[in-house]
Amino acid sequence: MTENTSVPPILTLENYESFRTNAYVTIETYARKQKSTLPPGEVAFCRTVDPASALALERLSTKIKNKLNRLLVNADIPGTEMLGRVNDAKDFDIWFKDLVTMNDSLIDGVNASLDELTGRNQKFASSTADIPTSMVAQVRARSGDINIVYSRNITRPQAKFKDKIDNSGAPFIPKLPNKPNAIIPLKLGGIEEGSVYPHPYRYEITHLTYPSFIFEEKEPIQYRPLDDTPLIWVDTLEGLTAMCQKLESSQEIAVDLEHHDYRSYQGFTCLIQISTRDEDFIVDVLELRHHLHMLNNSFTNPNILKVFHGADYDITWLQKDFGVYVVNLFDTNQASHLLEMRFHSLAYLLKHYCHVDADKKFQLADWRLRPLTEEMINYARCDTHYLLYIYDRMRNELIQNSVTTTYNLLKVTLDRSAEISLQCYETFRYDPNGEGPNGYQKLLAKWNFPLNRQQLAVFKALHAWRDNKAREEDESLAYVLPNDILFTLSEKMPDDSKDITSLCRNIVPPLVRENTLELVSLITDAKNSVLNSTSNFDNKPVKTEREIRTVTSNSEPILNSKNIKWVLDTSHPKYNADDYKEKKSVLFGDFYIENGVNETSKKKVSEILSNLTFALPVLPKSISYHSNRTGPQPKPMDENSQPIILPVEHIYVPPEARSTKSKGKEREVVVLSQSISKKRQRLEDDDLIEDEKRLRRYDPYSPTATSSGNRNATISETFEIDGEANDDKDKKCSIM
Amino acid sequence: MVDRRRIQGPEVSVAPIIIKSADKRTCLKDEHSRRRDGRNLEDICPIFLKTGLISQANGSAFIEIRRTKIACGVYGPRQTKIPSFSGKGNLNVEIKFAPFSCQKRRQPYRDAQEKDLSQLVIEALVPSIRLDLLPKSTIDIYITVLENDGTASCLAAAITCASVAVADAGIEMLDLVPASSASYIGGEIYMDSDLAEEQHETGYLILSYMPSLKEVTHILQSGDVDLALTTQAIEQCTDACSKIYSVMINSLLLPIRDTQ
Repeated sequence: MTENTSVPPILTLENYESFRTNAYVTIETYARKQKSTLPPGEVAFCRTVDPASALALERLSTKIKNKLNRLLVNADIPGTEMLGRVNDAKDFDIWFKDLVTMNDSLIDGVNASLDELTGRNQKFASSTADIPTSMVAQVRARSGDINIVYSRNITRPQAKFKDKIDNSGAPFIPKLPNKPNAIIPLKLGGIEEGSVYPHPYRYEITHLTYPSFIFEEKEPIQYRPLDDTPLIWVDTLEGLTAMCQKLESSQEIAVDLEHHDYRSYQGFTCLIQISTRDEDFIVDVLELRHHLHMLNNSFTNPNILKVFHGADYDITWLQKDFGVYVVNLFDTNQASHLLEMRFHSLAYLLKHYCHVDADKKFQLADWRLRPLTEEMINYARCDTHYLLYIYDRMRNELIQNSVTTTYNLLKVTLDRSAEISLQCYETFRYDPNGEGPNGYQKLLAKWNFPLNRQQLAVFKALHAWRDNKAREEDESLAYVLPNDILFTLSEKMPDDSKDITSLCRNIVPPLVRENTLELVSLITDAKNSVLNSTSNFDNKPVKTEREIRTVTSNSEPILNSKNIKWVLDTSHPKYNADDYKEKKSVLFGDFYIENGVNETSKKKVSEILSNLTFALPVLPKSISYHSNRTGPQPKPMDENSQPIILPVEHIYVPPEARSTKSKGKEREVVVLSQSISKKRQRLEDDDLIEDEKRLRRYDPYSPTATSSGNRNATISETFEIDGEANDDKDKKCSIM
Repeated sequence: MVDRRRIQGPEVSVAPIIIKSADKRTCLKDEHSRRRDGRNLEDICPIFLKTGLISQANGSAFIEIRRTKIACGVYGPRQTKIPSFSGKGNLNVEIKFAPFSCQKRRQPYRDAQEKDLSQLVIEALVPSIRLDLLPKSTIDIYITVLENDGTASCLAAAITCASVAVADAGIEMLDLVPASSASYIGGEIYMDSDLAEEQHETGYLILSYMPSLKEVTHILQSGDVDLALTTQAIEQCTDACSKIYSVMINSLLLPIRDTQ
């Protein structure tokens, strides 16, 4: 940027680069200079203290103000005419905010134009014409790169569900229409609020007799190679029926689920992978959701073994979405614990038994995407393809490591798996006290930053709003308002929409953006509710067990005294100091006696008083000294022919040495070593200078006063031995 | 490295075995509810308070309460070394127990308890000092405990002493801050307890109070206490603070009284 007096060069395509570089260089130079200048608060301080700098600052402010006002005029941006002028510092903040908003809208406009140019204008695309696309983003994680597959423009699968999704938290009622393989018939009735519906297959699982083939140590059946195994995509009722027939004739089947929980409050299953010894099936459960209860035929058949890995959540998902239950389960995760393996993940098992490196890429994929990519399908089938072989190997190992009667690892595995299959899916209502798995208590405990009462109230309000919104819109809590933004908002307690969006930094959650006004009023209400409440606690009177009478010496009530006296009224104490004073010191004995006032205190007080008289143009008559005292005398003004220069630092000046007339006292000052403090200097008499060369004369009122060389960097004690004749007290020592 | 500047005790020392007769317990009060030194439960000890002990310091005070002896020096306001700007003054308190001050010899090094107590003194004094009149300045308060007769009463005495010393330094304050302590022993409140009484306490309360403004600047309570007992203790401590206040004023007015 050139001087403001000359015309800035016309910006053309050619000189843009150099222009921009110059601008950046200038800004950077000034920014760097900023670091060594005054800290921001200091400016106001300097302005108050030094009139010269105040003037300079004023001139600088005016210059800046004029530049700002001309900035927009010169830039000639449409819409800037609406911006007010900067008249003083108060206007600047508003002006700046407006400028930033305008800047943002300009940039948005540029972006929109660019989008139009490249043909990606989203404004006019209709939702049906949108092709669901999936993109892979690489994220660096501790174990290497993870690919996050995220999808845009996916229509909500929940819209196609025949069963209405109920997020209210009403007790979950099992969905199965009939109960195959039942010993006890199905009984579905109403249940009361707050309780969990009993497991429909509870009796069957607890009284299960495992088929004998499980307990036999057999040669593991090798898995078929991947390309040799038929992969069957099931998305029609016929396909499902055919698959179920095949499952019912198998002895063991391996199962895995893929579940989506970001764009749904309770989450829903997207995919079921099933493998038999010969084939792999992938079931598109988004299409076949309400038919999948057919799986119960095989899943609840006690003679067919179902192999899962990490079934804890799978079991509840099967219940929640399809009403499918599992009887006769083998969980390889539990087996790996009992076999005391190093790691318990499926990836480890695959590596250990099959020497297959599991592809970690699609761990965080969005499985709602249809059609699924080739890679995703492949990844999905691998989860179950090898599982039956792994089960074979682990079963053998469990049997080998067991002692049948006392230490039966296989039995324990099956028992634990059965326990897992007995889990029931539970729904929860929002708990205003923050208890429960989604309650705020847990979240608060994890967050290290302490919240004050206002922030806590805002936090609770936002937490409740988030849960409510999530249930209403059927989105997950993380989609509505991620935890970190929740805490930022609770901490900062923004007052208006702009603050909220700025606090969210890059990504404003869509539901937050839609509801900023609601959020603003929520936050303000929460803040005010705290201010209005008078007590910290619930206003319940505290019951004390006994009444205790306060014993005080004064009969007046202390704490509810209405007579508030003048603050500086030193006669206020109701008590006479003599009653509570100790007249003699134990440590100092007779040295400090009641009426013996410390000489140095006296001197200090009188020195302050004499300084007062000196500073005033007229000698006040009220402060006078007893003439018979040989104590300090103020130095009369007419003696001093030089102009009064007040000392810059607070120098201690014993009054005796100040006067030009020597009193002839013998006053010996022995300075053992010099003190580092600049504040206090011992004054010496003129007579002593010839004797002691170290001692310098210091006359505070002379402009040529030499501050002495008493600046050695040794810290030590200074002893002053006072041999004043008029002082018939004992020698005094100044210690420390 | 061996510390050659001080005379250390032996590295390993074993306390002598003293066989105490079981029935001989310290009786803290007799039939008339008078304590071992003749006071009532609610009485405070006489206070010896003197200013101007340390001539180098801007302000200083020395306090003796029963056996507790504390000297305090105030330096300031002086320039803060930190370059960043602060609109208010800083208050810096360093409390130090002399190695001979307690029953058991203390290490000469600054330990956690001293840091803790320093922080408490700061909290008690800050509301009373006009720090907003002293930008970019620091007030340094150095408290030396020469003899410690009960931690609670020692802390209370330290606060009192520091407050007087700050006033002695001529630093503007809203009011002096006396502090008093009370012990909860056997369901009763013993004001200004000493070391022996402290062994039997189930809790204590230290209160710092500005009598002219009728405001509590700092309150510290420890132990398992009944709510009614706490309320009573607060009232008694406030009363005691008013008494101590009169002594503080008396000690500050002394030098001026004599020179006029």
